Amino acid sequence: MNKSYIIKGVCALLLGALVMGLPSCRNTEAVVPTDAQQVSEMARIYPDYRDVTIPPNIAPLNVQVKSPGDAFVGCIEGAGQQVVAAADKDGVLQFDSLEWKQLLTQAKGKDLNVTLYAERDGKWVKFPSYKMMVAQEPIDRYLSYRLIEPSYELYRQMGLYQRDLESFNVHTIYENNRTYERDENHCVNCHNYQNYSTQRMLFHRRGEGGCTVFIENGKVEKRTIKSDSILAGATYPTWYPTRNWVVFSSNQTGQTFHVRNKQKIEVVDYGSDLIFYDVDKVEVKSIMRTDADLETFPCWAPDGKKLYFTSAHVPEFAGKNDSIRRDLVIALYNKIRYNVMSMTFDPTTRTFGQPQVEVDCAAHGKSAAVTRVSPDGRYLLFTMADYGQFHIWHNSADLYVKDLYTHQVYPLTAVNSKWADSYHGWSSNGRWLYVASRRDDGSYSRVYFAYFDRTGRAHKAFLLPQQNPLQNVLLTKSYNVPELTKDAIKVDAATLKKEIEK
Amino acid sequence: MNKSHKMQKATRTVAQPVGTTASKHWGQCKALTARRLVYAVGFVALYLLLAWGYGDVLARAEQESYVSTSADTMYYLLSQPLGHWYALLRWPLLLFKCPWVGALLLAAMYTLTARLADVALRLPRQFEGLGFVVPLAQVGWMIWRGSNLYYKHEPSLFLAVSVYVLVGVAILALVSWLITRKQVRNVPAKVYPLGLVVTLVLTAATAGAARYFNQNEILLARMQLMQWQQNWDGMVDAARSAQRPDRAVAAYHAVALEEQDQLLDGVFDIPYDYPKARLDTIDGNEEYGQFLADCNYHAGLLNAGYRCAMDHVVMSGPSLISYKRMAVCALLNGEKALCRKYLALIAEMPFESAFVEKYTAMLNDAKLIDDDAELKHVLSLAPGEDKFEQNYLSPLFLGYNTGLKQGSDATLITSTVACLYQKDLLAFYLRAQLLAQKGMNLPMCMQEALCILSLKHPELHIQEQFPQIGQFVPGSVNAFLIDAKPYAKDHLALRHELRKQWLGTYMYYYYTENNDPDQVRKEVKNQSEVN
Repeated sequence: MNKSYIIKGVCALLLGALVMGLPSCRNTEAVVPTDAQQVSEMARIYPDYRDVTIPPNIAPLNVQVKSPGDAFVGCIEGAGQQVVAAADKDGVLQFDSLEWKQLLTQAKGKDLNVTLYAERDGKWVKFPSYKMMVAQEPIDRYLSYRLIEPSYELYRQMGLYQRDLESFNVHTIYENNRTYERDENHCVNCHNYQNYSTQRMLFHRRGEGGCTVFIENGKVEKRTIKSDSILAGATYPTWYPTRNWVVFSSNQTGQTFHVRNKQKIEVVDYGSDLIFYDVDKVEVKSIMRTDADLETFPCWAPDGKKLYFTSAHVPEFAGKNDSIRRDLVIALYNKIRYNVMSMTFDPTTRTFGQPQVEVDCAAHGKSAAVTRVSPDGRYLLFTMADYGQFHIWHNSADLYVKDLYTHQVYPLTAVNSKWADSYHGWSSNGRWLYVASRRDDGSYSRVYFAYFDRTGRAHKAFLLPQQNPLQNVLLTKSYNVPELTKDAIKVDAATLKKEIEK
Repeated sequence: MNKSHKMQKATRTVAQPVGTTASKHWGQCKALTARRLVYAVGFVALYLLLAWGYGDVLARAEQESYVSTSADTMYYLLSQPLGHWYALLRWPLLLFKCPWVGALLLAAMYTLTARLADVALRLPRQFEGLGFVVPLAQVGWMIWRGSNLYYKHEPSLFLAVSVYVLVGVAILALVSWLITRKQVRNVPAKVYPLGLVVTLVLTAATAGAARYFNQNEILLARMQLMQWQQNWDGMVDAARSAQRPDRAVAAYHAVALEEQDQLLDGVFDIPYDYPKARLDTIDGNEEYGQFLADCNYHAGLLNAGYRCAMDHVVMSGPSLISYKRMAVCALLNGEKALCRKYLALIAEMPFESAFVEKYTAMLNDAKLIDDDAELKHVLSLAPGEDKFEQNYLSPLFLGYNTGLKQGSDATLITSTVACLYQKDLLAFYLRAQLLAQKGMNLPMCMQEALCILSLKHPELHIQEQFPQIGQFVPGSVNAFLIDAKPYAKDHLALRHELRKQWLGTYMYYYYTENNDPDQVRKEVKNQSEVN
């Protein structure tokens, strides 16, 4: 996605008179102004990287200064080092990657001081400085995600990508067809990895030629997970930590569009169960078949002895067929509430215990989604909103954790926003959280990271850095289903596509 | 070079005696003058054809396009075969923002093509200008494509074709020149510019074909552009100039009337005898996709307007006109950050600063929204019911208006018109009662509809309930029915024979129009997933 847009130069040359306003070369020198006058106004910056805690291996946190000015300079200092960047009127400060890396390496566990300058009427002003804290613990290097328009129901060009968080490099995992053919148009979703490693990966291909794609050590295999004994196809996966087993939810899903409500869309399940899939034996079986309970979003505990999930009890569904439940769910959509549940698991017999309520959200008029357990097994991270389960469309969706030792449940206030904060997870060392959030504009989700300290407190979240921070504004796709991994994908996109289309 | 120069000299030497013996006849002119005249007149004719005859379509293509220097915004196009080439051509396409400027470029390219074609064919001097057949064939192709020229297709394709043809003809001309450069040609001093005559005839024929075969496509493009200038009168005039408006033209006619609060007065003034849409089948939502976003928006359905515009971007790639619709929907929905995003995307395109400034000002000062008649009008139609789109029939702007149970005075009007359009006279009756209670003078189409209802349901005692019905209206309805009687078994004859006298009345609409089974919308099952 970040490949050079080479025609830009050609266009500028050919149509210089026409293409007014093309970005020109930077004229401002990256030198800290010595005669700047201190002002009290805070610089307006995008993204908001003020007072955030960042990993020592993150790519440069480039920013755009949005305060008035004809030219800008940004200076980041810490651990005896300094990185300076300059910008013209657009205010886009892009720091040198090498200098940035050296700075962060030196400043591990220390604070960085950021000072921004603006040139106004030929004179420089200095904004009040702000801090960024560099944590000791790194974040997993690779972030996988899907790029798709927040487009309700239609899809065309979409793909799975992997971003190297230490740079701005993006690797394409899979892209669907670039040109439109009705019979070939397909969607991919629910990419998932075992234990933060790309050794084992899966994702679904929907539409014509629908299947689940399993990739093990670069070997690609298509599977169709179907059986008369299961409710529907395989949906949300969780890979067993050590064995080649996957628990999926099996969902009957519909969607409907609000005429007036600004949340615009409701994605509702009118049936969902949990299924167990043995990848090696190619066996699928239901874990539970319940018509009045909707179980979804499974997640293994890191030791594999417990399965967490969410479940809603809908007595109106009891004994009803699909068609009636489909109609009922539209009428009940804002009354269906999911609790956080768990079941014990015995890997030797592959049997599950009875479901237990972990967090009774419904009793508090709330509804949970997407359970994720921290790698040390202590914290259960989930999203809670007013109703339903597809919280990426619910502005009331916020992140909560349950301390599984103390049983205390609390919101991650420093991370949450007034917009939908959903689809989240942990880094493999448990010190970093990530969440897909619509906080930038209410519609297009972007990935935010937050430091989660040893006391169970989350710090202010910061946006996935981009080479040009305006990418976040100009990109008309959402970052969807972010997942961290320690290593890069082994199989290249062309091979993967070829194997899938065999 | 020297050889060529010598050859030209020789040619001139040989030509002189022929010129001296040429007789003087009317219409003859000097060879060089004829050549200049042919290309100058051909250029002007093409320019007028492209700018005046087809400028609206080309300007609409420009608005369908989107181009920026950001790789992320252009990825949809760049990742397609020939994507970089089309992205490059989208820059000159910007000139069609003002079709009189864009047409200059295209007419110049076409004239050069014609000249090179003449060179390639080595035509006698009097036939020079026949090369204009090549660009006119391209224009003919554009006309044949209709709205497919830009809608759900690459909008810069016509420029790509022009460049391909120009390069191809240039190569042929070069080859022709290389082969024949040593041949001596006789050049008469004076010639009849027959090529010019043929060019003019063909250009006129092409212009006529465009207006005859593509009247709806031209009007649709014009009306879609006019709506952004809030030129409602112009839109109404355009729609009423159509011989046989298609569904999209009729939709924008209703939009313009609605913005002028004249829906009930004028909506049945155009014929509702939709011709089959000439659109390539791509995703199955072609015909309605042309106007759904705008119609939903103008019906106050901001979420649905936004969604349809988004769907168009998803399926067909970035589109300026869709971004504009999304920006305005977001603005009126109170989604300021989202609106800013679309304005930032629009600002990436040259020549769009006026749009960006207008709506940025509204973002910063909500009072400006109230000062804008269109936006104020749209807000007055905001739905009162918090329901789902699926609760209403499709298309939503009609289904919502026929199905709504509560709304404002403004939605009562749109709802009444929707019921009349759907010929749902009982639903209309309930709304007519409400309007009568509010003391509204019933427009003629309502009076006529009530008289028809009275004939169908005498037990309702319509005329007693609605004393507003004019005394001549029942007679007029009866007169229509008498006129219609001879054609009772022939719908097409009924429509045709009564059109002159009765078009514009509700009786004519109710009994003769919008009742062709082929014109009923077939439900389209889009490929959809939960995203």
